[in-house]
Amino acid sequence: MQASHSRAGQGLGAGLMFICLGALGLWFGRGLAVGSAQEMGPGYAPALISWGMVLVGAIALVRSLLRGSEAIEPVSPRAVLGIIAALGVFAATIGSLGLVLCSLVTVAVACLIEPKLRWKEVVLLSAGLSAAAVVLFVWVLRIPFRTWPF
Amino acid sequence: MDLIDNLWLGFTVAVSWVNLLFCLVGVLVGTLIGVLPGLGPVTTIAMLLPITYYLEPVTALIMLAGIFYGSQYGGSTTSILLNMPGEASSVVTCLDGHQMAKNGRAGAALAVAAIGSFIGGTVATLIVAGAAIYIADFVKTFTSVEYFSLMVFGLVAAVVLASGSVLNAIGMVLLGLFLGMVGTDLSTGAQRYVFGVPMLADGIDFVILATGMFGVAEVLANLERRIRSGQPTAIRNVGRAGLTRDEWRQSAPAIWRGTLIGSALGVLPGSGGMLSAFASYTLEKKVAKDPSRFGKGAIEGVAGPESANNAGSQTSFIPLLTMGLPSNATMAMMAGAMMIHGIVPSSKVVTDQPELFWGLIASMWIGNVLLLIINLPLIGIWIRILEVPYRLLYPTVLLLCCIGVYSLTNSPQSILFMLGFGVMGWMFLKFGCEPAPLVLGFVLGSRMEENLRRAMLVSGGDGWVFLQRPISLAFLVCAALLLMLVVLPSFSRSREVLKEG
Repeated sequence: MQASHSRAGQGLGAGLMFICLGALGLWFGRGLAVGSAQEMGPGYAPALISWGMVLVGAIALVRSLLRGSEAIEPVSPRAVLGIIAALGVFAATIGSLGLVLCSLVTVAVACLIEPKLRWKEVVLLSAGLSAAAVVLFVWVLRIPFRTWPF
Repeated sequence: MDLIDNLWLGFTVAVSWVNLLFCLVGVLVGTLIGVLPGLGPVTTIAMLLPITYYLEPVTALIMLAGIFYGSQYGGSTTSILLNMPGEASSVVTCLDGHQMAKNGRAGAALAVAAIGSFIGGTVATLIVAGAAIYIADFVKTFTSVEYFSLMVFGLVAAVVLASGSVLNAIGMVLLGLFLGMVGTDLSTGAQRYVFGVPMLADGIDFVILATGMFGVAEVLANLERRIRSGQPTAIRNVGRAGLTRDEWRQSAPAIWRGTLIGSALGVLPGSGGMLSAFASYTLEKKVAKDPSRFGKGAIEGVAGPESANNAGSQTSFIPLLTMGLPSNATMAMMAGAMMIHGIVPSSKVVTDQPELFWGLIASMWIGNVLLLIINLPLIGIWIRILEVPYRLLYPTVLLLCCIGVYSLTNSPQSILFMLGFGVMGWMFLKFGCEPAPLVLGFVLGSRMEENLRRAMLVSGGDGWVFLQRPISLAFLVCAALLLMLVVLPSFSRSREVLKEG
């Protein structure tokens, strides 16, 4: 099977990504003393590696412009936003709601990513996982979690 | 005699009831998760890494190792019954294993996979035990010059022998090295890339990075992929488990050849298991009297690669345990697990922590025995698990990642970091960059910098020192040769074949 080829493909993305990452490394590392080869400062290795990333990125960029590369697979906004929402909910509620309710809500939100929703399954899964989490982490591993909001 | 004393010590550690229990738990959990399509060994270990924090270091490593070869075995079940590789190294098993299942010989395929894995694992464990002391003794003579060159060689080899674009892999290694340097610089005390975030002052937490890149990112990528393809159906009719006399005669030599190939190739950095399995399959096809049987359900095509795969996954512990050099993403996870417990993976582990080292080796063999005992009787359960839909799995994975990370850090902020690494990992996959080289770089980052610094300090800033010492020179020459291989057209073509299975 031949994957579809494109000038704005994976290679272009990877090239731009490595160049940006290298540039960020150089920019935010500009305050670190580089030192000399004999006495390397804290900035020596990061600068070396950042330039390396810029170089790799540049080669990838040029190669993709000359030869093209495999097309980037389409993004599913539903999946991305759903994951962000689920983990966001966990981070927001674990401190205040406690493990039981937090797990319930997190699993329920995660289930929403699936296009065809089966309510019964969602209820059973979140209740089951929430109970399993308490058993494993609080009872077996004895981690001092807050289990309930009160 | 030393070897026997050491193995005795190992067995006394490994057969304590706690360690036996966790070895069993690891093997069971590993098989269970390896059977599930879409969850490989690296994701599994990443997910369960936080839990091992609460165990003794030996017990933690024994359990993780159990998960590792358990999931490898589980992956072959998925390949045979579902024609879907649970992970990269069982791609080859699909070819003839699934055909055997279609011919009603699934039971024989599963049995020969189990027996082959056991023989491969046993021989390889003995090799690990025998070779480890000598290699560790040799490595102990290394100065920072040799160490640095060794790490360069390890990273280059991992990049070249792994699948996918070499250029992208180099970029990912560099990014990993970079991320490994975030935090307080060891020798100057300077804060690097901390941005006033207290959590970053000690460096990026390995568990957060690993769960993000291999847990969250995998879920995200799988969810997207699933929207475009349906759920495959498994073959339920397993047939008789025993092998006929003909099948025995055909598979026995294949198992031995696979074991030898796997043990040798597993030591190499890069994705050891996959390379060994592929090499063994090619060899079996070459030595067979009638090569046309391959692809139509030849039992040697299952026996050889499965033995090679398992032997390779045992010997891939050698570089990690004797030199502190993780050779693939799974071994980077093991290195991470050691670091969580404050053990720096290096040649010192053999002498300073003999209980840990020999206990782990003894448990590898026990784990293989357990796999052989539990797998065939439990095959009915594994088949039912095969059909668990992904819509029930991914919320479980996400929740486990969240609670695990939170239990270690006790800060909601760490969940957001994990999310960040997850989105990053997903973006890498979009651009055709595998996250495995990144973790290798991350694990080695600060150690590599330290060794470079020390070497340059002693040599007075003279870079030639790396070429003047024979061992260091040998490593660098090997690294350069490997890089040159990539440019050769015939080699890159065979890499493509490997990639496409």
